[in-house]
This record gives sequence, C-alpha cells and structure tokens, in this order.
Amino acid sequence: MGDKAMVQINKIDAFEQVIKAIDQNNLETASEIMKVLSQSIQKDKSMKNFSEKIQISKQEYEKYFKCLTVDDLSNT
Amino acid sequence: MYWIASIWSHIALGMLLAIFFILYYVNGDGKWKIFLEVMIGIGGNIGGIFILDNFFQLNIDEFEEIENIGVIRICSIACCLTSFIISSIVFLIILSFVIRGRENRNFISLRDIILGKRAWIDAYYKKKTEEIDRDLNITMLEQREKEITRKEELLNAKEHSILEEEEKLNQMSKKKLKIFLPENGSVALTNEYIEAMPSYINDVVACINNITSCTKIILEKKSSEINITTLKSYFISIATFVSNDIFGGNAHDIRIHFRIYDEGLNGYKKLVAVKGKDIVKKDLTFIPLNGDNMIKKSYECRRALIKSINLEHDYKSNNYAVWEDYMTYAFYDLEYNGIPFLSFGISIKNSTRYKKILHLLNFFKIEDFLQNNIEKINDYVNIANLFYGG
Repeated sequence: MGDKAMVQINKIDAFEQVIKAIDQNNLETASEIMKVLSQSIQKDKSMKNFSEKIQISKQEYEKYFKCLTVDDLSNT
Repeated sequence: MYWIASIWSHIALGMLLAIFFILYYVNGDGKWKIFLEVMIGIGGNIGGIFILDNFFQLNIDEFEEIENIGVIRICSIACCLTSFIISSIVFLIILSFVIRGRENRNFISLRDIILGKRAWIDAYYKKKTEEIDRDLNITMLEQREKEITRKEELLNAKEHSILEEEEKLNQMSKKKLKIFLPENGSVALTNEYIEAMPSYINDVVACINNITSCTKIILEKKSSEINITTLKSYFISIATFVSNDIFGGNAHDIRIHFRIYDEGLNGYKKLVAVKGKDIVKKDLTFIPLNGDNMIKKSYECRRALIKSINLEHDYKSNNYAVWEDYMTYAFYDLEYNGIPFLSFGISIKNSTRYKKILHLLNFFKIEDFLQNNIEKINDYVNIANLFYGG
C-alpha cells in the first residue's frame, strides 16, 4: 500500500464524477473513471475491504477526482 | 285324324316334360341328390303324363265316338313316354355341349342363372376374387399387414416401456431438490448449483457490504445535498458492485441497469447502465408502460422475474435475441401517480454460463435487499419528487 501513493475518496462521490461526465456527454472520461473504480472495487473485494471509501492512486485522483476531498494514505 | 292329333300332342307333352326333367336333373349337385331327383323326376313325369293324358282323352270322348280308342290311347302314351325319353337324351346331349368348356369362361351367362348353376357361379366368384387379389397384389399387402402388425406390437411394447420410464422419472423428479422461483417456476438443484453456492455467497456478501456502505453514505448526507446526480451515482454504484462483485466485471456479457419511467413517453427508458467494467453509452430498449412486460408483471407479483422462467411476459424488442436471459425487478414501493417508476435489471448474453447466478440471486431475493436500501433513501428524500418535481 505504501509503495504507491494512494488516496481514499468517498464511494458515492467517486461515482458522482462518472454521472457528471455522462451528463456533460463526456462518455470517454466516464468510461475511464468507471474502469478505475471497477479495478479499485475488485482490489477492495480481494482485500475484503468494504468501507465507505474507495482507494485510488494519487495519479488517478489528480486526473479524475481533483475536486473531491481526499484522505491521503501516502504516509500510512 | 284324331289318333294322329292324340299322338302328336302326347309327343309334345313328352318333350315338354323332358325339358323340365332335364333342367331339374342338371341343376342337382351331389350324387345322392341327383339320384333322388332322377327318381322323383321320373315318377313325377310319368304321373304327369298319365294325368294329362287322361284329361285330353276325356275331352276327346266328349265330342265323338272313336273306334279303337284303346289302341290310340296305348299308342299315345307310348309315344309320350318315347318322346320323353328321347327328348331327355337329346336335351341332355345339347346341354352337355352347351356346358362344355365352362370352366374357362370368365363371365356368368344367362343360362347359368336359368340353370341355377351354383357351383359355376361360385367358381366364377372365386376366379374373380383371385384376379382382384392378383391385381391388388394381395400377397404383398398381406405381408405388409403382417409387418405393420409386428411393428405395431413392437411400438406398443416400446410405448409401454417409455411410459414406465416416464413414471420412474416423475417419481425421481419428485424426490429431487428444487428451488422455486417466481412466478411459478422451479429449477432442480443439481450438484453444479451446490458446488458453486459458497463462491456465490461470498460474492453476494461482498456486493451487499458495498451497497450497504453506499446507502450509509447517502443517508449521512444532508437531505438538501441529495439531488438527481447523487441518486444516479447511487444507482450506478449499485450496478457496478453487482457487475464487479457478483459477475467478476466480465465485459460485454453482463449488463446491469436501472430504468426509469418517462412520463412523456409513457414507458421505461435507461437511467444508468453498466456493462462489465464500463458504462453503457447507448440507450436501452424502451419498454412501453402499456402491454405485457416483465416490469409490469414484477410490480404485480412483487418479485424479481427471470425471462426464461416467465417467457409469456417477455417484451420482445428488436434486440431481444442479443440478451439470452434477464432478470427484472420493479420497485413496488416507489410509485409515481400509481406507476412504479424505477426498475432494476440484469441481462446476460451467455445464458449457459450465468443462468445459475440469476437463479440463485432470484432465490436469495436480492431484490428485497435492494428494495430495503432504496426505500431507506426514499424515506429520507422523496425520490419521485427529485425525478418528477414536487
């Protein structure tokens, strides 16, 4: 977890970014965000992590979720 | 003059009697019968000769006296008998010629009927019957009939055997474990289901945990912060969790979607949809409110329905062949003007691979879990108000 800078964002907030992208007819971005979220969900499932937060890399956060409040996990 | 007339009349009488005698004689079948007929015929004819002779003699005697009447009478009777015997022999010879070669004929003549030749008529019928049999190939038909009868017996035996097997199968199926699915379907719980069940349970639990956490997030928000985007985010999160947790995020094979009632179009259109790990960019098939469809039926029976088990309610759209099977659920507590406005669906392309999951989700009543979660949000913020305005 510590080898790659990770952040946690609220699950619903993350999905809100997908809906916003769809509403803006930015389907490519919506699709990319969905893929990021799907991968995170798969990872969380394998780690049996069913919290209200979802873990994503800082790079993905910068790219798609910059407007969201975030818990920085880089120091954990 | 009178004695000549008497003799001629007796000769004619003899001939006439001979004709009847011969006809009667020829008509007989069997030696004992012929013997009796000859005896009766001769006796009867001689008797007849004497009666008729006596009658004619009386008439002659009434008109004039005739000399040598005794001689004339004896001569007349002798002529009559002689005529009878000779005529009988002659008629017999004639008839013998007429009858000769009869066996080779293939028709019944008038004289056969007059003579009443039963044996020949029978022979004629027999010959004709043989001809017809030959024309119709009766021998072959009889063989065919035997063959058909044999096959019929075999089929009857097989039918009996099949019925017995069917009875055994029915008995076995009654003993089989089944899961009963709405509306009136059932699926035999085979080893495949039993073996896959622990894995499905883990997946379903993961999905339930994820959806529960999302419901909690929504309920922790201020109601004023919740808008259509928030609700759509919630619904797409549910679709994503079902797709990823239960179906492993397989692209293109599985589509999880929510449909919403469109007041203007009077039917159900896409709200959000996920296919594998991606969003569905195209619109879903529009389902009209009126008419038979699974959303309506699900609303009526308050259960999620699987198409393959409820084919009679399937709405056949243009792409109905693409998605081999699907499960639909109408959230019955979410109504707008008495119409259920939200539906959930899982469509699968590979029915063989995924139908077991659909059956088990349906059996576990996954729809009840979704209904409970969405109801909590609906109690918190009126979903219909958000979508259709207060």
